Amino acid sequence: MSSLFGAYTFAAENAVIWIIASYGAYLLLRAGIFAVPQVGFMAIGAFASGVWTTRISHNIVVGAIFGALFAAVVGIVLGFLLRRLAGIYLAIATIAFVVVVQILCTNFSITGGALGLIGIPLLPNGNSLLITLGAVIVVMIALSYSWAGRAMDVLREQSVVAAHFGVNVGMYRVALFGVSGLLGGLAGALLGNMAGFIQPGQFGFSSISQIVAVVVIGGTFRALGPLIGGVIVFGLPEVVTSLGAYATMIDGVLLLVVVVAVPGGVASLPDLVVSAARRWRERRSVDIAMLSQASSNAPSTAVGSTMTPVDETASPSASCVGDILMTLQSISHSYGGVTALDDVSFDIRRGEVLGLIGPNGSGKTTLLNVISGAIRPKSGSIVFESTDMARMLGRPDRIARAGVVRTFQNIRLVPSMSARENVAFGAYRRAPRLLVSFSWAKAHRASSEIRLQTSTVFASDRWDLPSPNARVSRLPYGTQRQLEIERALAARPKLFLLDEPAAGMTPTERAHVFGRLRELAHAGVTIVVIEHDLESLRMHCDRIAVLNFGHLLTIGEPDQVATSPEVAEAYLGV
Amino acid sequence: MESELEITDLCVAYGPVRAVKGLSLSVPRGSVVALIGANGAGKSSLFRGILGAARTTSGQVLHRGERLRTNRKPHQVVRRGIAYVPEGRHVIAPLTVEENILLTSDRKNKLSVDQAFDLFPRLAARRRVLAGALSGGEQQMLVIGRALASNPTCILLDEPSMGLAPIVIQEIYEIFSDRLRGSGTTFLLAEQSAVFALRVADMVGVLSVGQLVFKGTPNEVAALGDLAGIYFGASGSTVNHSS
Amino acid sequence: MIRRGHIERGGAMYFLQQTVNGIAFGLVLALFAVGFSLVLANLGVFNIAHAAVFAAGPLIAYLLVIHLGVSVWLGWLIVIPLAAALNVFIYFVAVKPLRARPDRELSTFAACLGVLTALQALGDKLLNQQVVRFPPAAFSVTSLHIGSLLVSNIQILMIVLSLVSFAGLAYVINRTFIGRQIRAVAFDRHASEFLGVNSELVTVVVFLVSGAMAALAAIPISLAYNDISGELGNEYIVLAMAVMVIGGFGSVYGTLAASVALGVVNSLSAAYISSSYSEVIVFGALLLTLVVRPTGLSANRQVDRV
Repeated sequence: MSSLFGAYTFAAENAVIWIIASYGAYLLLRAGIFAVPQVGFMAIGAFASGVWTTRISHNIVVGAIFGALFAAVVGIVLGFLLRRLAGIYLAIATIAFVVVVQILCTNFSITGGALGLIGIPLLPNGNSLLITLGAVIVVMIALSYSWAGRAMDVLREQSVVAAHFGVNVGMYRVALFGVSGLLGGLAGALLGNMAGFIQPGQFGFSSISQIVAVVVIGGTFRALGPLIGGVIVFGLPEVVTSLGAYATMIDGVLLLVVVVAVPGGVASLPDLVVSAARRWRERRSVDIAMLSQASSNAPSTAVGSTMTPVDETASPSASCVGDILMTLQSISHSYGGVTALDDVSFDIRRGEVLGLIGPNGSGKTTLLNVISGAIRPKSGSIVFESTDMARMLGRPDRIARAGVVRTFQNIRLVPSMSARENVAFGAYRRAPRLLVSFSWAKAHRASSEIRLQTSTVFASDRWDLPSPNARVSRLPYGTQRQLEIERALAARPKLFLLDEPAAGMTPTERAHVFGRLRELAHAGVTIVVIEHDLESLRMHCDRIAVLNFGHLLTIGEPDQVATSPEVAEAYLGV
Repeated sequence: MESELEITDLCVAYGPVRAVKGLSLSVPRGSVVALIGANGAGKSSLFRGILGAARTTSGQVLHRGERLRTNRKPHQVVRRGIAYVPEGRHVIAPLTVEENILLTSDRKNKLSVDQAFDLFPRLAARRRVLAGALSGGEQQMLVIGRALASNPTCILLDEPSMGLAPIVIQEIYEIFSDRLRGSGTTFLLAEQSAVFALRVADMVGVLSVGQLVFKGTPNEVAALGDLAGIYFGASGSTVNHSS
Repeated sequence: MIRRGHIERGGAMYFLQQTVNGIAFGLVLALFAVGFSLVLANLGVFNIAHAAVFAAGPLIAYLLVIHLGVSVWLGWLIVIPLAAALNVFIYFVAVKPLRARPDRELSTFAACLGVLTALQALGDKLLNQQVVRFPPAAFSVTSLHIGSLLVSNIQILMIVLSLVSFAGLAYVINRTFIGRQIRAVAFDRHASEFLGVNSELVTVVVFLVSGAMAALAAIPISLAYNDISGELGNEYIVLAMAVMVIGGFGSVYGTLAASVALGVVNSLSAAYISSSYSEVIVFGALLLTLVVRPTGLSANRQVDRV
């Protein structure tokens, strides 16, 4: 390494180590976890490894592994302890963690007190540092293309969606803290091996700024971000030596400017340029009228190869259509003194389209939230396919894995992912878990199958489709809603919950959506849909349930319900 | 009669979704105008558009002849004398009843706070209670009283009856009928539940899918054969206009 | 961190002395922490650059004293509005542009960190990379005997200043129009806008007050411990964070109580055990609070009645 960097060797080695540590921070921030424990992990790794190599054995590799593992364990424990925190509280907790670690290191005699440790065995050259960094970067790049990487992106931008498609948020958090600890510990250990000594003073509050600067300037959601950020933050003062004392000031201003002006960091600049060029070339927007035109031409009763295939276990052949899929028993929920749901009980029949209607504030969305697991009801039980869901209530990831999927009132696509990636994510619960399946072949087959199905979605001529690589945020509203439905279907659900799927649509688009739901029900998917347009429900539903003040007013055939005097009174008050 | 609010061809959008499409309405000074319609018909969006809390893509709003600026901020509109009571009773919970009212009270006119209490004796009895501890009905009274205390020319009330028990709604509307109606303040009232609105209004507008599909007196609206159809049917309902 | 008194160890008097030391420090720290927490309650953002505002006060006062021969007290008077203005500047530069971002909390933290780094470097540059102290001629520390307690004039200043400031703050927040508006905006910004409250103006006022309070806290601390540098604020911002979390964001009483408790614990453990372990106790308490009761000892993120 000295031949590569010459006089700058020390600075370069230092930079490489801090970049490795920054990758630990990058992992957490990429998943939307606002935590900065990195420097504390570095201190732990540095001192653990330092103590090992000065007292037990001089083997650098073993020492580094020991330091990394020690810090990883601390990371896991920390992640578990702080699992209920978010946002600023979490950030403060991790800053406090860093300060505590530093104070403890300053006070323990085993770590040499305030003076730290000296006589740590040195690395023969910097090559191992470069190799380590290279390995880390390769793993990070691989991660960003993997299911776990996608899950992290969705966690960051739409954490509710992540949970509802089977991502065990708590477990991800703990795991990421652990890996962050591993990387930080490794970096800390290497720091000792590079300089020959370590002091607690190196791992304080101001080092936190350095790591944040590296990750943010480089880009929190690009695998190469920390590398680029590190090169800039550490390279700039070396390259522009005339800066001298102003170097730190420039760093600070640079951080500010990048955050405000280039949100994705420097690593995102190429993307910005590309998309700006694309926007300049292509037409501005898809005309909504054109969309309605195209969709009204599509035959609304088409079944067969153009449709997304439905999961075999949901097909009616295994059990009769019309038997009971889910039973809600005495579901009640309240918050802040308001009764949202009051002793709601009813069955959902397999293969039916059940409409859910009721005035504003009647509890429709709350009911859906209870079924999907977003809310844990205060009392009541749910039985799904003869299994009591008691252990799954309030756990959307478990309920999702059981085969329940939903859409939300607001559009919840992931803006930074393309149309194809958004739809593919729906299959997360079916994604191969490499560690669990123990079979490359099986994992590969499952992945290709999912990829094929996603392509089928985009190849079908049912609706005026966006390009699979289109950025979802610029698509027309109706198309975004369609994509959400496709995403949910990619999970091969048994039960599909929709919260006002046709809100804001024209009558033609609305009819199209409901026609689609009808077909899905024919194929065996059970549908529960919240709507306020009674006409649509009347035409397309098998049954309608009416809620009022959290109470189930009535449930039955559409015509019956629509002409019921109680319903008229609840709605119109006449 | 002079107009309080003159809305012309207003379009309100949330991103690509058009919530109000070319709505025109003239609200006479001192009158009570009720807007009824199902969820998502555009009532709240219309109010937010007037306030400047939602983007208006075209059309204009005149308040007493003066045009409201396109890039207006809600607090500026409110300062001009258009009070807004959003749906959901957003009281400032950590403040007391009295402090909530003092937030908006017209400092030049010290009587306005007392007037609010005079109107809602239940509130006067609980003036030092934290707003978060009030019942739903009391909170609704508080937000209305709070709006009145700013001495506005016009009040936009969004679904005051939502989530309240019928007997409480009755009490509020009675006070409304007895004391507020005809007091000189203009009221624009949005309701999903038509019955009370029809009782107190001078004029009623029916909204559906962002458009005004019917306008007339309460009697004319009640006489409409297919009110339920207009209300519920988003697709293909006939459009009627009374003269 | 805390100076020991000149009374012999052991005995009730010693204990009382350390407690008084701790209370004085805690009260002043509370000024800083409360200012910080008002901003947090108002906007939900972590203005870490506040540490620079803390350092700016004594730094500018020092420069005024050294270069213009101004008296410390006059310098202090001048510095308070300057610190307030600096805090508002930070708002417009690092906080306001990021209000609409989905990752608002992280971006604001990073942006403020950038501002902090830059300001600290600027401060260091102005002081030629040195840690300086006010010239001894600028003020004199005298001690009074109250019973058998030794209280310095600085400590009296700290106590009086804090109590007066908190009384003033309480009055403003509880009884004035702007105080109600501040509480309303902290609770529900949108609803407040619909009530005619100019929430942007309220935010600027909060930043102004917060900056002024930082200066009010910084001057006596820098006089007492007499070291001034660009990094002066770092130590205290971390303490302020601990105090805010334990006491509850936006809760003035909670922050005050936690701060005084911190000062006393710090002082006593420094006197009886060792000064560094006192910090472990403080931050350990912070971590414990966060693990056990994530929102702190007080309820919501709002500005309570004082």
